[in-house]
Amino acid sequence: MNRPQDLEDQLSEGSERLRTVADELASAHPLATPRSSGSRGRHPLVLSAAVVAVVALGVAGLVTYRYRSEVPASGDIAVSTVSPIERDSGPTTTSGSATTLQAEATITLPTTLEVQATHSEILFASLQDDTVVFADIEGSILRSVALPTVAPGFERALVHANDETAYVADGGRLIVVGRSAISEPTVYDGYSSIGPVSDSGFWRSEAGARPGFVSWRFESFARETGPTIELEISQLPFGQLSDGLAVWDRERSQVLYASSQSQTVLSSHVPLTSSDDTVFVLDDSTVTAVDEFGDAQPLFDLRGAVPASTLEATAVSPDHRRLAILRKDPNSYDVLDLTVFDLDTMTESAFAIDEGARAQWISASSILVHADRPTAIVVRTDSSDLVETHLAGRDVIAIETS
Amino acid sequence: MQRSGGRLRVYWVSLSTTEELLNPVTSPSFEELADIEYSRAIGLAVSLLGDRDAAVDVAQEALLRAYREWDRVQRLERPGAWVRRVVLNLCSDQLRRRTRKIKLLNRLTRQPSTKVETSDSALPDVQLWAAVRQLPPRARSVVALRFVLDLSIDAIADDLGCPAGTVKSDLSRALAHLRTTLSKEDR
Repeated sequence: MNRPQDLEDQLSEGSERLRTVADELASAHPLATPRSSGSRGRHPLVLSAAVVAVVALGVAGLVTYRYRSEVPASGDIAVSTVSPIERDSGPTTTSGSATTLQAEATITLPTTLEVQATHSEILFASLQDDTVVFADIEGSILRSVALPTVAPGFERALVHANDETAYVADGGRLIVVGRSAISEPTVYDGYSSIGPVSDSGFWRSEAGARPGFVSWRFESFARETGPTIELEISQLPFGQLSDGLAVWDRERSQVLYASSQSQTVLSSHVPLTSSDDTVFVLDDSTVTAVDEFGDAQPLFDLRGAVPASTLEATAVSPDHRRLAILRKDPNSYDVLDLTVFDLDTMTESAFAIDEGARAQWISASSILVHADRPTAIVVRTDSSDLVETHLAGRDVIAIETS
Repeated sequence: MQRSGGRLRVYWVSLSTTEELLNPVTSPSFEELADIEYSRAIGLAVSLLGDRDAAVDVAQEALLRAYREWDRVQRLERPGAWVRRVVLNLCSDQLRRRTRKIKLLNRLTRQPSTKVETSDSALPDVQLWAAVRQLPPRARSVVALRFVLDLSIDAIADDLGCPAGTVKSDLSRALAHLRTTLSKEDR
């Protein structure tokens, strides 16, 4: 049992020992002495910080960084289960192996598939010209909401949706439309067309305190605002991480994690998309998950294909267990397929869809594909059901992936 | 006259220097600040993170930020307090990230684990400081500032931007909590 004075004595004595450790560390890592690479491996994040430090301090060389990476404790993560899948050939041929790939068969179907009863549970929102349409998978329209006056010179876009609410970008405004018959569209000013939007709020931007900088701030739909994150103009947010932004720095070709307190370089590869704590990048042709500390895990090999439009055609399912990527031929840029990767089973399924289509997850296992043209070519795989439906003359395809 | 003027000049310089020592009107140089605060920043960070490498990184980052913002920081009444605030913020950031990382690993491996602590066994009094790190953020900051940096209650209140009474009650509750925790572990 600790007596009152005992604990304080213990803390005082312990603190003295800590101060000794700190003095030793300060001597071993003096600010004025450049350090050599540490033994724990080189980390792009700290490498970049070192470059920044050297640039910032010039010849003074007062601060340098050790290269360091965080290595998960043994047994924390089963890396062996996360390995690229091998496939024999292109996406329109039948292929596969017993252990790593689901068997798949690609069949072009010119006609509408039979709608199955279970799909009526799936609801979704769609933007049809200046109207938001909430419908079920059979094409039955549940509610149709005309949007307020269009901001001149801007094209509207559905930037986020769930089965209850649609979020439409309209120039510098964000229009939030609910499926409920009693809700009226709510308009939020100060939205930037590139700012991430979630079910709870959106990121708004305004001119930064310094020239060449932009201030980003999360605003909840209850009109509460979070701390400001200052980014350079060339730094574009593409996703929301736990308490900050996933940012693509175009000038330096780096993916950053930016919070109100710091910026961390996560990767030097092209970003695909992000979930709430993971960024997905394309390392050569391998889809790689990078956590908030820059630790990378290779997931899938796209076999030379490129994502069509990284931030539009790539999407993570709500449960973060599936990743949909619209793949293009790297030479002709023709659309190859929509490939869905399952992170649990490490399997993949390919779906042929139209050029210009956009994929949107509407449940953990269902993707909604908005096709630009009214004649969609629908493909079915052995492992998946697929439904084609029609809304105001436009085809919508739902893909059930489980 | 010339001799008298010389004496006057010396006297003036001497007086000015004394005033600077008592109530500084000229700022310390960055090097002077770093001399004093670097080791203290490491100590503070080690106690809060339990990881020597991370602590050195945090201390360096804090001083790098002070250097970048030097035009502003050097005009502050207590530049050292500014550095300590940055250290505390960076440590909180790191601890939050550790927690998030555990959650991510749990999701990937599907094996629940609550292990957030690092185990830098080379550090002294591991059990004691591990218990400190389990305290709520402000309470653990108060304990570290009070014992590791030996700051007075008023100085801690200044550092944290809260009333001295709040610091006292935080410290009192933190010590009571630590006593309970450590006595349970002793059994």
